[in-house]
Amino acid sequence: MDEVVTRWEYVVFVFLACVGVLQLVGVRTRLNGLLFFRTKAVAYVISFLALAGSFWWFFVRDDRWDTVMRCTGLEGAQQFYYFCLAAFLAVVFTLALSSLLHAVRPRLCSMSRVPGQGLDALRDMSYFQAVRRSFKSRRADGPSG
Amino acid sequence: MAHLDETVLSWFTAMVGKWSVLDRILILFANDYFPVVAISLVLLYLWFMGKNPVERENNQRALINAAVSIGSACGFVLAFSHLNWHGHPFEEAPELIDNVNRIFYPIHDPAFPSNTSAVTFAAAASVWQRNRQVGLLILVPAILMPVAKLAAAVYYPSDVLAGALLGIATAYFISNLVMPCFEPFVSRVFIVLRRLCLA
Repeated sequence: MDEVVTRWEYVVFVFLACVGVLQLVGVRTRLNGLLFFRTKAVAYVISFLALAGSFWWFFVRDDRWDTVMRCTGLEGAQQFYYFCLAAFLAVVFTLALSSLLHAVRPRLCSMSRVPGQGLDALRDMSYFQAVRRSFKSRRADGPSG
Repeated sequence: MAHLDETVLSWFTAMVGKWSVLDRILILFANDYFPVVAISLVLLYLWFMGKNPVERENNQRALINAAVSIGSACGFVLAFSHLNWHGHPFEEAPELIDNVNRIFYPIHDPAFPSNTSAVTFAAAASVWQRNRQVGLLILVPAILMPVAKLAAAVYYPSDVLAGALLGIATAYFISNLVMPCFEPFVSRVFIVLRRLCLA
């Protein structure tokens, strides 16, 4: 029987690709709180390695292009489910790791301007800092119904 | 009409087996993973993209519309496939099985309308309405995927065309008629996501 794509391969591929996309969008839109390393060049290299590496690993290694890619593997519904799972894990991983790295090497929170709301807060601080600030400000505002 | 379908199909199937580079490109775009994951990654990028909160919310709404349109398009395809069923080209012309084996694999889903065209065009049309550049970007795999499947003799041109039209119609229906009805719910979701610094 022909080899087919397994769910674990698909999840790992999507997870790595999503991490690459998040690093890329972080550096392109200056959402520094998403980045593992604030240096632009390093962020670009990480995103390139994650994206190119994941696509190479999934499609090209071991001549999969000529074998596995011409077989059925996961059905549409399974692909949707595992894509959502892997993308969710990639977002959680990126936000957690970038926050931890920023806690170890605090370089954000320049506070040279008023921090933004929502995702925009990630321009000036890590995700954990942004969420803490968001809930603190809500408590300070009092119950709004 | 059937004759025209077969003539146009023969133009595409003739591409297979001539140049190994072209065959590899067709394999890449016909397979179940590459175009779909590429489009999904662009949609993930879209969620975070935008110079300011207004632009970003517009992009995020485009993603929500695309997700709902893709799901709805799958449902519509299922409904239509029960109304009008015909075989895949490789089932009706067994000499085309070589094309299928070179590029893809023999699928057993209903051929009309093409599910992949409906899904990819629904995504492209949904995003196009709110962000022209990204909509065009998604249109590239949305076009190349059905072209590769035509070359593989998995679909007739009419299957692909019907799928594309269904996907585009679904995107406009969802974005302009359905989503406005759910606006209060969507706005509340955005408030919660903004509080969690995710939107």
